[in-house]
Amino acid sequence: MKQKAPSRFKGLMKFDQEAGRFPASRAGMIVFMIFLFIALFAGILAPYGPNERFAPFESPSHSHFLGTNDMGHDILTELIYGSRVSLLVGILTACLATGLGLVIGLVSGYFRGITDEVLMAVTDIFLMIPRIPLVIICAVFLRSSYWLIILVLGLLWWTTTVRIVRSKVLQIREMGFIVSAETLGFSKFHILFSEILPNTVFVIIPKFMLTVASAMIAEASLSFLGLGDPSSKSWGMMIRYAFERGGFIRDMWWWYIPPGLCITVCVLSIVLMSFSLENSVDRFTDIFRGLIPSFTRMRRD
Amino acid sequence: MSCLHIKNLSVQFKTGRDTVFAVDRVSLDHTGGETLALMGETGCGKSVIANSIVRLLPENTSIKGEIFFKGRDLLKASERELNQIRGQEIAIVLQNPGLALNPIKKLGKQIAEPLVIHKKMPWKQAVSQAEQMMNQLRFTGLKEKIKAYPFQFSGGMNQRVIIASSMVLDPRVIIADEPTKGLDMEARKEVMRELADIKKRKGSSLLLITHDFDLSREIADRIAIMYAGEIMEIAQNKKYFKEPLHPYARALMQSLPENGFKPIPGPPVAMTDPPRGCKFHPRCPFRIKKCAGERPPEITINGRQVRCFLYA
Amino acid sequence: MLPLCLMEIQDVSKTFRYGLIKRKGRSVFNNISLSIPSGGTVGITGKSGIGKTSLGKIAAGIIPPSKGHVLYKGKDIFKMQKAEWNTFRTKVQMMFQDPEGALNPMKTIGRQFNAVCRLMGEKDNNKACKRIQEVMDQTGLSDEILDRFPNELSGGQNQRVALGRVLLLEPEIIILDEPTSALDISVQAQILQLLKTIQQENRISYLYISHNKKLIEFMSDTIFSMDKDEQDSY
Repeated sequence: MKQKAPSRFKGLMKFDQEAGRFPASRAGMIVFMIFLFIALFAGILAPYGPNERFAPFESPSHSHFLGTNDMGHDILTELIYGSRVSLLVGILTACLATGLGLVIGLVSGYFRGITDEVLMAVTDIFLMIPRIPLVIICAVFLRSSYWLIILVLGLLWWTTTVRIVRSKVLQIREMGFIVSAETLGFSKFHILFSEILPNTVFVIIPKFMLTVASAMIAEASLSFLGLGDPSSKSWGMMIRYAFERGGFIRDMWWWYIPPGLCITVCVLSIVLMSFSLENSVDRFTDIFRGLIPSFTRMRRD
Repeated sequence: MSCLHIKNLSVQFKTGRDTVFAVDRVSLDHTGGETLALMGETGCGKSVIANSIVRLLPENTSIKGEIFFKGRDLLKASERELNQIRGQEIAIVLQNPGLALNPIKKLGKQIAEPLVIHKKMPWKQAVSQAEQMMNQLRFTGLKEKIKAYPFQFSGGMNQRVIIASSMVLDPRVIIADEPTKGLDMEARKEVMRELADIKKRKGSSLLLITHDFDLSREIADRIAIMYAGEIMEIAQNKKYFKEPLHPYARALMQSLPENGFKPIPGPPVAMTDPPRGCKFHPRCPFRIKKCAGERPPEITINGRQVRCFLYA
Repeated sequence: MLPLCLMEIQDVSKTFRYGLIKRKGRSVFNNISLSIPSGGTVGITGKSGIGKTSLGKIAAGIIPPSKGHVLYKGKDIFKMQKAEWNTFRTKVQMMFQDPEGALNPMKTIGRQFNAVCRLMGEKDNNKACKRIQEVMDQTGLSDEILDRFPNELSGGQNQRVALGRVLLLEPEIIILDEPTSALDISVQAQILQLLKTIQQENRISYLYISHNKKLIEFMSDTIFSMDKDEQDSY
């Protein structure tokens, strides 16, 4: 009788083994895990509280590893807490964009006909809308916050996911097991979400990862332009303040380079992870399937 | 005359946590000019043997034993030596040969390609030699076919083209792996005629890997039947089909449509965990105690070889 | 006692149309009529590409005919109300040639069986498991396949799973489209025997499609040939 815990662990071990075939991907995975860890345990890892004030404009020293900013906040603390915001915005945007793209792609690809035509036309319209300018305009009229960025970027970014999902669904719907499922009498809803969806996973996951990466960069750019949320500091916002509040002029590289580096390295790690996924789909299929809980264990005892 | 001599070949694959015991101590002699049909069902190891001869197996394979060709052990030959041998002296036509055709290249060029690569012939000469050969093999309406693309023809036709192109370098041995798989009756007949023709005209040796009984009956000189990685019986064509000796061979004959589809009891063998002793014994109606413990030796009776204690 | 006629195919023709503006038609077959009695097997034979699969799909209600009717228990299946259609959908099933293709590659066998149980409305886990166990015993499948995926099973096992899934619905008619042509000879013999046994035990009618004449003769009570020069039943 299989136990649940070991099989999941085995799955993750195999992921590592698989990622290990491409050393760059393994590095990517490790680095991303580090960032995640930092974001999750920011409270424990940061040397000081996020709002504690000290003498401003200090250079790096023993007590302030990265010095302090114009308000006297410890920059290293800011950097650590900033990871939360940057990652959160990236991940939530990707969730929204990928989720929307997934549903629309599934419906469009499976039902075809007029539904497909209409949805694809809508997609084309959305593709035409320039994203960053739209965010800027929204930010001008509404209160600028991260939720705004997440919402606007998410609602505009589903377009690329839709196309990828749709072509995969077009492939899948011709396969034997779909005809079988229809003949057995399963509802279209069931077929869409229970039969087709699991088979699109390997298209979705790399796309999701890359969307996280793109969203993080977009958020950093927007924050730098001053459209981010002034209350919670992301890495992009840190660079913004460094620029605005005299960090650049004073050559305080320890203020603006670390957040820039973090963004770059984090995005790079995500992209590298998605490479290995694209390269060995078969092996990852086994790993993914190993993570599904055992049927007999679930039902029999 | 050239001769392929396989001695105690064993092949194992490692897949994840399992080991697949694909071929188990197989010894086989293939004399020059003969057509030997290596028959058996899915998973019995016949394709693995074919791929072992030309060393086209994947990386995680462990091979033991010897395969002698013209006095040389192919398993110990270097990759360069093998490149010389593949195509020129031993040609292999893999499963679904029609898929081996490049859909965007004209047929004539694809048939002529081996000549250009191996014999470094100029294209024009190669194509005309290919045409000559196609003439010999009764490809009618030649001019259009040479200039045509694979998708314009049926599966059977493409299959024949691949077989023809494997002949272009005049190899000593042709290994054909399931040449009639996936073809309907018409195409099957075409391919059968093609192979029979080649046999007559060229006198090359043909190692035919198949589960198609009709094909073997038509063109094979000898039949070797495999089960779970071992050769169970080798016999002359007519003798085998008249009366197979090995219990598995007999049971398989009974499963044929013309004999009433009588099933062999029990599930097919799992290649990751084959039975000890005789691999067929769990499903054999004639099994005795010995069969579960020891591997039966190969016994020669009337010019045939059978691996069964019944004949010991 | 005359066997009850479960399904009647009346004057069915199929033309596939293609092209966006000038809808050209490729006629697959014309005016086919046959009937399927309760508990018996009707065989359909003919060369490859002659339209046997299309006829099977029409009979199963998967694609509509261009002309003609398919009657299930007297009612035209393409004109049925929702409730009648649901019953038809349960009672008339189809099995296909590619064993692995009929199963979802990303779901374990157990889950695929379970999904059908839930489709039947079986909410009680124990009862569902019991039913699945029954069907597995009937089709000769062992417990350990429940946690496996279709690509880990052999062709014969996959076909048994496909059959088992269909049996969960307690069908009255199964349309079989060359279910053994992708299988090894000995496995084919096993599956054919299994089909015969199940037909007797469960009193199911078969519409058996194959290009292999000997196979058709072995499985069928009446045979309908679609070859142009032999369009008759015997």
